[in-house]
Order: sequence, then structure tokens, then C-alpha cells
Amino acid sequence: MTTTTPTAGPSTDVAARAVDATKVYGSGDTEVRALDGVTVDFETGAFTAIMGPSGSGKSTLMHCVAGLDSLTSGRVSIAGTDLTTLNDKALTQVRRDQVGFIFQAFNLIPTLSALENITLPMDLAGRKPDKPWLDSVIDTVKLGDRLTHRPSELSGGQQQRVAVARALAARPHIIFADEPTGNLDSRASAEILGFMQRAVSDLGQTIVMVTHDPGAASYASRVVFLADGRIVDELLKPTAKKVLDRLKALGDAG
Amino acid sequence: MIRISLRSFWDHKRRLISTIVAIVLGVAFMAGTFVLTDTLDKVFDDLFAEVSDKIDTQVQGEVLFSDPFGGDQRALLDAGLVETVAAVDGVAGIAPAVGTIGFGSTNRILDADGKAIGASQGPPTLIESWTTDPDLTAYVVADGRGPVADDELALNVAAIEEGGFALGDRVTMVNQFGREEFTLVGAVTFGSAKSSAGATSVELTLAQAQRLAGTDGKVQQILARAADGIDEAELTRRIAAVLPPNAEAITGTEAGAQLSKSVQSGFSFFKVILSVFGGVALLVGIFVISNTFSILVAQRTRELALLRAIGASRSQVLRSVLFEATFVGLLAAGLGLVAGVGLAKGVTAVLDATGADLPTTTLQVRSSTVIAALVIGLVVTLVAALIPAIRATRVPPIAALREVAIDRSNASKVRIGLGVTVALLGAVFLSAAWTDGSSDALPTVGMGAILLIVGAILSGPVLSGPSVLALGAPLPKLNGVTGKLASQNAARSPKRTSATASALIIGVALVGFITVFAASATSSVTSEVERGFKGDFVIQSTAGAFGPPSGFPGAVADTAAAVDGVEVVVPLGFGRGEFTYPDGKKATQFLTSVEPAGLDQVLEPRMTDGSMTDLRDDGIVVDKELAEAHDVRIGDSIAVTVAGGEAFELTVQAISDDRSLLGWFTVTRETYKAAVPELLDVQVFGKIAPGANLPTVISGLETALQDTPSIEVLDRDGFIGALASQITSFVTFIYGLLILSILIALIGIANTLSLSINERTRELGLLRAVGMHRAQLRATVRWEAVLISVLGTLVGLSLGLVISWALIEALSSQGLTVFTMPIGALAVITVLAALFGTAASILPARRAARLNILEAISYE
Repeated sequence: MTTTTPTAGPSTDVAARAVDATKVYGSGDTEVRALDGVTVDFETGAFTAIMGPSGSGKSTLMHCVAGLDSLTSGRVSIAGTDLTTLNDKALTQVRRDQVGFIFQAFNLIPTLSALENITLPMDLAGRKPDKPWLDSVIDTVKLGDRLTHRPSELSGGQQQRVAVARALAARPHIIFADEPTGNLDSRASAEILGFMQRAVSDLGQTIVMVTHDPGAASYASRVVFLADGRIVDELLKPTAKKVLDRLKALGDAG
Repeated sequence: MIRISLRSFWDHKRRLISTIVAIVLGVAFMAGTFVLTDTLDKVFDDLFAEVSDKIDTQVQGEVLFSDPFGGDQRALLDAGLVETVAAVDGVAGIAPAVGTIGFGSTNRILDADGKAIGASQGPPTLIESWTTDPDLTAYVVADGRGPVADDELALNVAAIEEGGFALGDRVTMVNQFGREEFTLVGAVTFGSAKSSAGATSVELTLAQAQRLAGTDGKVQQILARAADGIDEAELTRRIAAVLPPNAEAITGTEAGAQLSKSVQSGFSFFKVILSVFGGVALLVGIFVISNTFSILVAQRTRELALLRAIGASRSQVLRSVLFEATFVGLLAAGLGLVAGVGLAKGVTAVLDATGADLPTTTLQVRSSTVIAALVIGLVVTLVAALIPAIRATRVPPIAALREVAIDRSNASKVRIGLGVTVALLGAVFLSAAWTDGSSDALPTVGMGAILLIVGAILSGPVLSGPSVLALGAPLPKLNGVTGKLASQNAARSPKRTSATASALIIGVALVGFITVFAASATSSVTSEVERGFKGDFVIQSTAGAFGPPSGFPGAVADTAAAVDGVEVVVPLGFGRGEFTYPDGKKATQFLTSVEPAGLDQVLEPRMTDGSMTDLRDDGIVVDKELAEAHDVRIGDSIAVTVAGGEAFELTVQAISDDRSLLGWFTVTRETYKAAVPELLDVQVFGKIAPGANLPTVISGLETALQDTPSIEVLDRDGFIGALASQITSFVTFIYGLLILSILIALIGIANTLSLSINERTRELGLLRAVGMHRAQLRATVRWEAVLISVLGTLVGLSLGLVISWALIEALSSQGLTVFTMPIGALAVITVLAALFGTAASILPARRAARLNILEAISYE
């Protein structure tokens, strides 16, 4: 078994980091540089949003930093562990123990109940969930009366709340959310984003969210803008309007 | 729409591979059976055409009785008739013919080492009167001449080569009179072949052949050829005119057909058995195919709905699915046909290699075989695809706009009601085994068995979900969430799981049935021997379970009796005879012959009335069941006609109730000998003198009997072991035939898993994303396969168990007295099923584990 030895001491307040991350699909004429030398830190305890137009590489960046996809060159690390050197088994273990995921849809296993879905990463690891923490997470996302339901018996918003709870329950080092509100109406979206924001502010969780919705991005403490595989801008303490303005500016420049 | 069907086939070709394999296997087995039996039929047709080509008329005795085992038993002809026939105008040549057959320990030619020539279970030795007229026989003298003196013989070239003989050698034959020496005067070929289909031909003078065949100076046939200008029909008509009423004349062509038919009837049993197992394999295949199409249709719900939305009619959708099935069925049937021909070729090559020197005939691929193979393959596929196709037509156009839902419906109350009703009906039929108690209940029990299986399969979709969950209940404890997911996955689509398991249920029910039945038969035989056999040793033929009853000369008993330390020997033989009851009804049955003297010291048969010591030479012992059926009592008279022609009246002197020892009818050895001079014993039961040492006596017996080939001396344990091993070899044969069905069922499991995994791509991607290892994912798929196969196996075994229990109960009057549940063997089968399930899951599991996470979770 490969141990996940930390590489040269990163500062403790960086939860995940990409250094000169490059991802190339195809070659020759059909070559597409989805990521073109991206260097970025995601700070511990921060809620970072990644934005950019379609094809800007925002999803690729998230997939690579989360250990779902591999880089062509460059490095990514989570909690000081260099992911680029890990094999599938060790990567799986990092995802299971260090990372939480919230996807846009198909977040839940249909054969498992809501509670079983929440504890799935810990069950896969053969770990017992921390009961008080689990209770407080379930409490936070207000799922108490829905725990025994199957996903097919839950509304879209409830399903996403289960997904948020799953991401939080294992106390991962970092949570990656890929358009978590993409399939929800505005009320459910606001609810989910509120939970995520509170997880960061109240529980000290680190969240990285990919979104194309300026409204969603305004819940974050920092927004990173990507275009053509590069980081082109950054915004702290964003509001929906500021984000929209930046996006417009980027669009005009492009 | 046809283009869509073909495109759909092409797109799903990987998913249809297993369907095609299932059909190919079943059709290949069927077609192979047809080609093989047609080829063997042709071989014998050709062979006997060669014999009858030269004969224009054959005179033979009238049919005494027809025996399902030995063919027509005919009366013998008086020797004087030869002259009568020869005198008929137009007869150019004539030959009387007498022959008998050698197997096992009797009528065999020995080589210099005392080993019998020819395989012990292959083609027989033919003892024949030499036909001196070369125009009336297929035999051709290759070297030397035919036998003239009574101590001369001619052998076929292959036998001479095997024995390493040269003309002029003294050759030993073992027969019912002991060992006799003859001078080898000729080498003959059969046409141009070195043997007649692998048989050993021993050509003797008429007198010698009559002595060995025990025809008492009479002849079996008179062969005649016509003078120029007279055809066989005319000659036959002329000869028939002079024959006495107990004789008949047939043309040479008819004689050839008659001979060929009698040989082929021996194969027809095999043809039936092989076809039955081929049919079972195809039946199992139906489930596999039906499941595949169901899943494909379910996965194409959106596509079908789109077709409906843009204006395709229901019947067009139906046709598109059925057309795809037709295409698959024909393709697979064609491949199966080719594979079947290859299979038959392989078997004939094996037969050739094992010494059945078959005349070279090309494989007979008849057009009927081709048509049957294609029709069977097509019909099976269409029948299997029909229900999924109809379901496809019910897809509403609106489904095009919805998410594709996995077919999770379990079946209606109607279905479970029907299933339970059919199963209960089956149980009622089965219970006839207990209420009726005679072998008359067999057809009812058989019907019950079928109904029970049908009922179980009908209720499958309703019961499979809860059953799999119950079966999988311990898994989460063992494997945590992987186990939980495995049992949930197996239960999530009950129709699919049940169809998959059903394929296995059929094969395993048969395996379970055979296993329990064989175990019960073995313990019944053992307990019967323990009870009925009081002696110390048994002498019997080593020829196995499948040959004709292999006898040995009566001299063996005399030799054994003279061995030091042997106190009692009781020889026992079997023959066939036709029996006429006092009520006038007739039956053809086995006839047992025993030596009543000393019988009570070695055997203790169960008797209903009277005792075996009451049996005299003018008497017969009748089995209780027959006696009851025909109201036979002690003192009644029964007429017996045995093979060889003698009819005589015997008085019933006792009623027996011990079919495993005595069979149906028993007479004394003297009586039997008087009727059938060619006396053969099948077993000699013996007892040693007080104080004698059994191993010493047995080795003494072996030494004394070393001149007799193919017999063995066994102590009690050895005797029981030999009986058990006969059952074992039969069971092994059946297992071999059932492997095909099990194989198809396993392909079905692998297939269902692959298709399900295809459906669950997104879910599997999610599992991998949130931290499931590849090994854990493989374990999930594996456990799902194990659950389905163990479910199928447990249900199959339970059905097999119940059915064999009922059958054994129904057969208890036939000597199957003990019902044994071979728990060890059943446990082994269950474990094997789990292992096979694991094996079936290897490829689907690997595919699941290799899945690309990003593709699985992307939304586009």
C-alpha cells in the first residue's frame, strides 16, 4: 500500500494547491489545452468559487484538484499530499478520507437510504461515524425526519441536502461542489448555498465550488475566474453584481 | 424500421453476444445429436445393405414375442426346411445361418496372454455359421479358407491382427462349455473392411455354431439367392409358398432394413436422451434470451418513446424488436448448426479412435437437420423475445421526456396467485407418491414435478426480491456497505433477478434431483444387499453398467464350488421371456434363474407367500406386484416363452417381494437350462466354510478363474462398492449432459450483470468518486452474482429434493426403499454454485471497475 507522505512543508492554511497545472487533451491539430499552467491555492476555512465561461477549464481544474482526473504536467496537492504521484488505490483513499463531493445531480445511490448515503464514505472506509458530529450535520441540513427515505422519495432540494450532509459528515479536508444548485429552483438553491456558507463560517469547513451562476458565487468569500485554461482574475468578498461585472469584462476582453 | 433494427443490433452487438452463445450452445447440441445419429444410421444402413445385397430371400421363424431390450424374439426353423427351400424352383444357392453374440466372459476369442480380443464394452463378438456360398455372404476370404471341420474357425482380419495369430495357430475360445481350442484356417474381410463395424467375427461350421447358440440342431435363418432372371420379390413369393406356418420369408432388402432397424433401435435411446438434454439447454436459453431482450428494451425506453412520439405505430415497434430477434436467432442458429456438425465430427473421430472401426461414411447433414436447427434457434429466440417486444410497444411517447427509469416493477398479485396455485397443484400431484404407493403413480408424480417447477418460476418475480434480501442479510455484517449494495442491487429489479435465477433453477433442480436420487439408490442398494445377501463373496462380470447383461459360462460356478474353503455357491442368471398369466394377459419381462439348493445360506429374499426352498423344476416364483395385478396365487399356472423358442407351463410355487435380488420371475437353473441351452450366469453368490479365511479363499477363486476373462471376485464391501460405482458412473454421465444447461445459465448471470452495470454507470461513477476502491466495486458485483446464483441453486436444489423424494416414494416398491439426503453433496453443489457465480461475475466486475469516473458522472 502506498502511503500518502506529505511533500515539502506547505503552509498549514492551504487546503489544496495546484502548481503549474496543465491538462492537454488530444495532440497536434486537435490539441486542446483545458488547463494551461494554473497555479492556485485554496485556503483552509475559505469558501472559494471557480467561475468562467463554458470551456474555460473550471470543471477540469476541480476534477484534477479533487483527484478525479490526472494532470498532463504540474502538481496538485491536498493537505500537503501530492496527488500526482499516487496510484488509483491511494487516490481513491484520498477522495474517501480527505475530500467531500457535491455534484449537480445523481449525487445519491438509489438503493441506499438517506442516512446510508450520508455515511457512505465512512462505511466504505470501514470507519464509525462520529455520532455527535453526524447529528449536528443532519441538524444543520434539517434532514432529521427523512433519514430512512430512499432518494427516489426525496425532492431535488432534499436530495442535494443529503449530498451536502454526506460531504460534511466525514469531516473531509476539503469539499468540492460542482454546480451544486444547477438543477434546483431559486429557493432550494438559496437554502443549499446557505448551508454551505454556514459550514464554512460556523464549522470551519473548506469548500471549493464550480459555478456559472453569479448569485451562487456571491455566497463565496473569494471568486477565481478562469478563461481558456488560465486564471485571469480574482475577487474577494464578492457580490452578485461585482461578479457579473467581472464576467462581462472578461467576456468583452475575450 | 428494419434499418433501425439492424442498427440497433449492431449497436448492441456486445450485449447480444451472450444471447447468441446461449442459442449456439443449445442448437449445436441438438444439431450435433441429429447429425451423429443420422451418420450412425447411415453407417449401419450401408453395412447391412452390403450384407443383404447378395441375399434375395431370407427365411426366418415367426415372431414369438417382441422385446423392447433385445428386439424380436423368433422361433427356430427345423433343419429339414433347408432342403425344402433349396428345392424351390428358381433357388440358385442356399445357406442355413445360426449365430450368437459374445460379450464379457463368454464366446470370446483369447489372445496368447489369455486376454479377450475386442473391447469389453465395444462392438460384440459375432459367433456365426460359415456361409460356404460366397455369393450369399458379405464375408470374403482374404487368406486361407472357411472352416470345414468342427475344430476349425476363421476370424476377421482385424481380430487376427489384434491377437497376433497366424493361419494354422490353435486359437482359444471361452464359452459356456469352458475353454475350447480351434485351428485358425482362414482370414476374412467384411466386404473390403477388416471388421464388421468393429465386431470380432468368428466363423464356425454350422454344427459348432448350433452347439454354441444352443439351437439344438435347428437353424435361425435360411438365406437364398435367385437364379438369373428371377427377382427377389418373385423368389420370396415362391419360397413363402412352401413354408410352414411358423416361418416367414422376406426379401433381402427387407432383411437388411430389419437388421439395420434392430441395431438403430439401440441408438434411438441415446438420441432421445441427448435430445432431451438439448431441449433443457434450450429451455434455459429462453430465460437468458428473454432477460437480455427485456433489459435492452428497458434501456431503450427513451429511444422507443421517441420513435413513438415522432409517429411510429405500436406494431412497427413490435416488428422492430422481433426483427432484431429474428436476425439474432438465425445468426445464432446458423452458427449452432456449424458447431453441431463439428461436434458430431469430433464424436465420430473419438469413436474411430476407440476402435469402433466404422466404415468411412461422410457426416450425414440432412436437410431436415438444417431446417430443424434453424427453426429451433429461431423459434426459441422469438418466443423469448415476444414478451419484451410486447412490453416495448407499451412504452408511452411521453417516456421520451422522462428520465430513463430502471424497470423495477415486481409482478402483480395475479401472478403470485397463479404461481402459488400451480405450485400447490404440483404438490398435490406429487403427493400421489405417498397416497398411491405403487409405480402407477409415476406419471402423476412426473406431472407434479413439472407443475412445481413452473409454479416456482411463475412466482419468481414476486419472491426473488425478498429472498435475495434475506439471503444477503448477513452480507453487510461481513462486508459492510459493499455487501449491503450487493444485496440491494440483486433485489432492485426482481423480474430480472428472477429470470436470471430461473435459468439456473432448471439445471440445478435436475442436478439436485439426480444427486438425491443417486444417493438414495446407492443407500437402497446397500441396505438391500446388507439385508438380502448373507454370503461372503460374489463372482460377477466386470463389464460395466451400460452394456447388455454380461453373463459368464455356467462352468464358473462349478469351478468356484471346487475351490478350497468354498462351502456354498449359488449361481444366478437372467434372461428374457414372455409370460402368459392365468388371466390370459401377456408381458415380456426378465426371467431370473437360480440354484435353489443352498440358496437360503447365501440369500435371504423377502417373500410374501411360500419360500424359495419350495421352488422345484416345474415351478416359478412370481413377484408380489405382478401377482396382485393379475391375481396370481400359488398353484396357478403360467406359460413362459423364452428367447430360443421353447414354450412351457410352470406352476406358481411362491410369491416373492424382492425385485432387487430376484426380479419379477424366478425359475430354477435346471428349468432355464432346459429352455435355453446357452446358459449364462450373471452372478455367483458364495459362502466360505467355517474357519476358512476369506482373503485366502478369494485369491484361490481368482486363481481358479483366471482363465475366464472379464470376471471379478468381490467380497461384500467390494460387491456393494461395485453396485454403487455403477450408479456413480450413470450419475456422472447425466451431470455431463447437464453441464450445458448450467453453463448457459451462468452466461445468463454474466449477461444480466453486464447489462445492469451498463445501466448503473452513473451510480458506479459516484461510488468511485466518493471513495470506493476498485476492489470494493468488484466485490459488490461479485456478491451480487453470488447471491443470484446461490438463490437459483437453493431453489433448484429444494425443488430437486422434493421431486426426488416423491419419486423415490413412488418407486419404493421397486427396491428404492431408502430416501437419503446427501447433505455433503448438496452443500458442495451450493458452494460450487457460489464459485460459478463468482466466475460469471469476473468480466462484468472488471468492466465495472475499469469505468471512467469522469465519464460516468458527466451530465452530457
